[in-house]
Amino acid sequence: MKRARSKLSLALGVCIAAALTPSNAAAFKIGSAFTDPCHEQITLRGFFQDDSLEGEQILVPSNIFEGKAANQSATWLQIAQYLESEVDYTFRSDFERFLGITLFIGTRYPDQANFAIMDINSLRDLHLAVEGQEGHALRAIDYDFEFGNEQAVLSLRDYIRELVDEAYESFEGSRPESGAAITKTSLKNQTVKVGFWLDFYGTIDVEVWRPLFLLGKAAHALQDSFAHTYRSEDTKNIYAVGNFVEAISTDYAESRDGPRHSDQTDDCQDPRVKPLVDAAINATRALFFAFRDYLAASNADEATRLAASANLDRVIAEQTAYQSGCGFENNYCETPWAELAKEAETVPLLGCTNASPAPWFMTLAGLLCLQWYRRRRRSTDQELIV
Amino acid sequence: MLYLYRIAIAAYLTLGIPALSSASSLFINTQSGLSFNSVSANLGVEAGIRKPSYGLFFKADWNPWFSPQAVQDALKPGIMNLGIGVEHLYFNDRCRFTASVGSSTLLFDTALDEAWTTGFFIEVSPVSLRWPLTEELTLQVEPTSISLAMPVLSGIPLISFQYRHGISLEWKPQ
Repeated sequence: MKRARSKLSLALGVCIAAALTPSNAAAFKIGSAFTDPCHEQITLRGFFQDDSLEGEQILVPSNIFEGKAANQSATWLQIAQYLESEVDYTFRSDFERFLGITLFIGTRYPDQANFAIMDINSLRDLHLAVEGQEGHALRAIDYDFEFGNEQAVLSLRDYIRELVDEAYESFEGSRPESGAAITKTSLKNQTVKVGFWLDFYGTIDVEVWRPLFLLGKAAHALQDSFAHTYRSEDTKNIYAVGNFVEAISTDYAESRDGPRHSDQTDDCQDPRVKPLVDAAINATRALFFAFRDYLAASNADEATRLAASANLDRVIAEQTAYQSGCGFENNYCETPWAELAKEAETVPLLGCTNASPAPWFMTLAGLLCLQWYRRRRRSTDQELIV
Repeated sequence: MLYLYRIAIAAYLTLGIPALSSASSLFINTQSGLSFNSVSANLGVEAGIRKPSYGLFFKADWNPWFSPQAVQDALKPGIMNLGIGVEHLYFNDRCRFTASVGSSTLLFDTALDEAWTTGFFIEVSPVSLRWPLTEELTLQVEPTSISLAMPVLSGIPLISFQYRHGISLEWKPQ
């Protein structure tokens, strides 16, 4: 009996010791790029000639529309009022509001789509998707080592260019006929409903003009390239592209997978991030200028259209310029953005493990073993008495 | 809405109290509960008159809401529901059914609407389990009640549909 009791104590001790042993962790964390209203603020400033927000919008040529289009539905106006309060700015005309708010909805969409930030399952699908990381200027899973940086940058450029081209085609589809000005009626050909999530209200269907909605998504990716990469100190060149999907897994190695996504450089309210934010504003403005010229060239000759298209490529390439040779091995050429980013990197969050049972499970198993032994001991004693 | 209230209250005073005055008793309920599907809490008071198994009551219910999106300011004042209800006791007064309806008023500014916007609410509690503690006090457990509040009826409506779970203490003076 003494031998059985000592064996059980030993077994229980082993269980508890195993429970207290540190183990590897793998978990899920939902992150987001420039947290709201960062994207809206950057897009708002890019929408105008300069940061004073004075003057006309720079995005849509004035002769493109016949009259001034505007969405006056009650739902849209309520959403517009909410977004204006978020950026603390009121557009001066219904037309300007129509353009600006549609852009805002587009820039928000890649991070939130039409569901809540706390809708973990949906956001997990959105942010952990194997495909589509370029929409947030992040690496795909198989973009490894230094060559992975170049692949990620090329994917990002292709993504932005595809969205811009789709926006241009949608813009052309908004005309009543080729070359004609867009009317309030023909505009509806390219008006679509998208989901817009608001706390307490849930998902609201709101109508947007598709060209600017798509351009907003393109601007989002371009803006994220300033938060999700290590850039040169002057922000002009990308040294390395961040990783989110593998950064929250157990199978991450910086030398292979690139730097982790950073919540620090996502924080546009941090004064230290201001140079990145300013650069993102300038990049957005450059993209909008180039898109405007592309729209204006739609009625011009072929040579002018090709030149405007080439200018778009040039602007996108310039704002996402990649410089090789500044990687993990040489500490990203000592760029200060690496040090800042590493203050709040995305890491696995919870303490669950793939390698060994969770500590609570082992403790519970040990206690159940003890309980079983005591019951067995009690029934054995009763049999002896009988 | 106010006009309908006046009619309801007048009908209650005119018809309800005399009808219930024979062999009737007053009661007061204090309630508290939580909702997990629409994360919120509720604190309320019911006061009414009961004949042996049927009763009428007034209800005041404060329903603060929790906003998981707002990390630093998660708890919102929510809504205030004011209304009237009917009840039925059954299974030897061990179970209680209630249904209530009334106004629902927003107590804070949301993204789209201002505080004090008012709509309506409906609440049904199919089964409350009752345990008499003393002659005057009864403990009630409400496994699930269903509450539909619409404090905003215009524009983009604001709807809160809650499955509530709570307890209450009833005091019935002898």
